[in-house]
Amino acid sequence: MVLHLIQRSPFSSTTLSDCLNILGNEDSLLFMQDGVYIQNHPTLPDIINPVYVLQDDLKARGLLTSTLGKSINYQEFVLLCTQHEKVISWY
Amino acid sequence: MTNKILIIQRTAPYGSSLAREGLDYVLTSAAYDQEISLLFLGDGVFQLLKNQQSQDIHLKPQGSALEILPLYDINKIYVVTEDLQERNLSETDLTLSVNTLSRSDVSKFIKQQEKVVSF
Repeated sequence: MVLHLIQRSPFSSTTLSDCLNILGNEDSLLFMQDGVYIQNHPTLPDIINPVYVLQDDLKARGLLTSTLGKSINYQEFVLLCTQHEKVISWY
Repeated sequence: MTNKILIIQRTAPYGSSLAREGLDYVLTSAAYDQEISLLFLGDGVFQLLKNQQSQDIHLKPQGSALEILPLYDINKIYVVTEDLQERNLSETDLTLSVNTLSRSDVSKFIKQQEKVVSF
């Protein structure tokens, strides 16, 4: 049960596809930093796992609402980290 | 205290310093008697190519640096099969003998580890 932190834009990096290639059934994804640009991508991948987006990073980039997954604050981010066995950063 | 640590290498060798830093992490952990596995994923598989001659770009060849891993008793080296195939590579192109994992086996493999660090 892994929480994957996607930190790069899917337009310029293979970070997201590398992660999706090996994603486990019980894993969750959190988009943060430039990873939040995922929601502007024309072909959103079909993700059945739980998806979260870091609110402050959306807001900073002028993306006001999350169209993909639940937007969360830093307190919820910390909570998510404690609820998963491992956390892997993808940058 | 011994930890089971998996290091994931997912970048090509010379475009950034991540590959080198990942290797430094591996060697340092080995010096502290940690149980290390190394997984090459995505562009990370390019680090393993034979015949890297990087002296003219003034960088240390990553391939030869990886060849010393068995001397540090690091033998659990894994490569994602599909990532090799996607890049038109096979195991005979690699400078080390590796174990292969398919993409669908990676999450199970990660589950067996205590710590995971990605570069």
